[in-house]
Amino acid sequence: MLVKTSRIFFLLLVTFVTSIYLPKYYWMKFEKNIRAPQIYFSPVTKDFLIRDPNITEIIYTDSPGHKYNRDDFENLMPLLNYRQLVVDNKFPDSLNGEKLEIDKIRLNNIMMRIYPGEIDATLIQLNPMLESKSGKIRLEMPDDFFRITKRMEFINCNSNKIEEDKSQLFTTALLEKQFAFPAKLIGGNPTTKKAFDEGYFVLDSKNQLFHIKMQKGKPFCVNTNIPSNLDVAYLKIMEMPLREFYGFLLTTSGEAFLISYDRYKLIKLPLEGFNIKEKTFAFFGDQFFRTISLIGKCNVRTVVTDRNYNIVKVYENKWEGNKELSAGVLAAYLFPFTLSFTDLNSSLSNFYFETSGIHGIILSVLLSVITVLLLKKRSIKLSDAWFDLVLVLVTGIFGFIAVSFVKNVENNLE
Amino acid sequence: MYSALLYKEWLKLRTTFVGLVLLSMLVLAYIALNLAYYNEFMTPKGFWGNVIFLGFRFFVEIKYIPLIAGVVLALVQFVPEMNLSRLKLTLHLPVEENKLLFQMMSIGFILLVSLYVMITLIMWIIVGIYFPSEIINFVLNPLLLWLLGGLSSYFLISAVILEPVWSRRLVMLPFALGFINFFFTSEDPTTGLLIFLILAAVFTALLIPFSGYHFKRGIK
Repeated sequence: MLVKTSRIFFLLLVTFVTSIYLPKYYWMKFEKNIRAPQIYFSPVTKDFLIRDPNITEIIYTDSPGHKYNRDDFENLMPLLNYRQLVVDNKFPDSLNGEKLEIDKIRLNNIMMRIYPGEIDATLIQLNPMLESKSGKIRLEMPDDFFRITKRMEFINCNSNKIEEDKSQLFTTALLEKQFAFPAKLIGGNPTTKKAFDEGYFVLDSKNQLFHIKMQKGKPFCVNTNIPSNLDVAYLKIMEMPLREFYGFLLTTSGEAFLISYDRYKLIKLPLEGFNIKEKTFAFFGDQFFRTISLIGKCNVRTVVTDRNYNIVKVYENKWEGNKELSAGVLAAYLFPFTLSFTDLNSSLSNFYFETSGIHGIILSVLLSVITVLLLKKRSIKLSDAWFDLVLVLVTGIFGFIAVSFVKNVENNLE
Repeated sequence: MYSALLYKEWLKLRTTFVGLVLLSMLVLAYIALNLAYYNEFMTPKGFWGNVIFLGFRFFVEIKYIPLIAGVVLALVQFVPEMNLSRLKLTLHLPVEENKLLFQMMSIGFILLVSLYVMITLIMWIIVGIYFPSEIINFVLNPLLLWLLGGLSSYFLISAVILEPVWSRRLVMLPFALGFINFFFTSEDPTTGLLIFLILAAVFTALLIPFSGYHFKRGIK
């Protein structure tokens, strides 16, 4: 009995290992790198310009199908390419009735991307609290890092000990504002490579969002009063000299908000079908428009809004992914499922399981028939080898490899 | 009976075990020295920043030590048994064969686990000198996976050695290695996957009776 169980474990091990490596090696050989189109919105023509990065030649196409080369593109996107245009002496004086100034363009140009893999990740929950009102241009990294668990604690890196006074000071300030410990989520931009510091946005255990920073050594702590029924999944904070918004707030259900400088009022972005687990969020803002794209594996949806976030134009596109190509079709017949420990959309290792649907069953059934013949050849009774058969039927080629390699024991048992 | 077997296996493994303990100590001492060095030259806040923001793995030298320990212990314990056909003699003792094999394995298992516990505790202490609990976890989580990989390698390599036929050994080996590889390539596993990997590492011990069965019956 033990030997039989042992053999079953061996079968399972071989099946498991093959179901991970076989599809992996198959795709290493056949996978094509299909890149999403790059989508721009020209403030000159008020139309999209699309570049297919899978073609080496640099060509941009607009909606009616006109083709533009790189020079044309630079002229049509003067706010994005102002540096090149200045060098070429082609920088326009005005656009849409507004005078163009380099400083203003630089101030208004905002670029930001949020990848699913950065949301689904484990971070070390220690952050530095920068001094945000030092009066100095250059920010300094402090000598301590904080955590917000039962209270707010600062740990000094030189001594690896908690700084009691500072911890007490901040904890008291938070409690005064009815902060409910511990923190669920902390969003900040912990770097000194930025123009100024806005500290952190912290979601407490009662889903209240607080803005916390340090000014001249004293805590600054404000309840932003966002609705507590928002299921906040991610906070991306980035200090921008434009000071229109602090950053982005994404919810589990796929809503995206800007946290504005106007008393932390949330501005809802007009997005549809935003699955934060699968789509990359790309935001580009300039003096006139906001171009917001949701980029999936095989689809993209871009919304252009004015500066008040009213929709101006929408672009949608789908393309064939690896699964639709011949290698993908063949894979669906070969492998009844694929298993992987890694996924492009997550930084965590997990079981990423995908079935091939109906196609995979054909080979599984065929291999089961071959298994019956194999067992006959090995003079094994089918009633003794039911597990082998079930394994092949369920796991197809993976189980078949296991059964072919692992000898049966029944015919040797007295 | 068990105590006699225990003594016999201990005689066989003690030199190797001491060697593995020394090797682990050397590597841990190196990591401790490195910690002091980074702390001095990166400055503490620079070092913390590197770990927290960039995920700097200052302890990566320990990664394959559990694997080496598992494989070496399996080799030293079972290769002589196979070469001199001593195992045949042992298996003819009036004790059920699988019980005997598991008893033999239990000794290797105990030695290996005590080595691993020691590595974990020392690592905990030296990292704890410079870092708070968040970073200790950042060190111990991947270390746990590597230790499980080492344990799994002990069982799987033992099973490969106990398999009497070379052709079957060659078939077993790549699957065993492929399986062990999971423990060394999975980064940041979710709780579900971690539980699976813990169970998987322990259950690889169940492959031993299959090889032992082939050995006892001399199945070609």
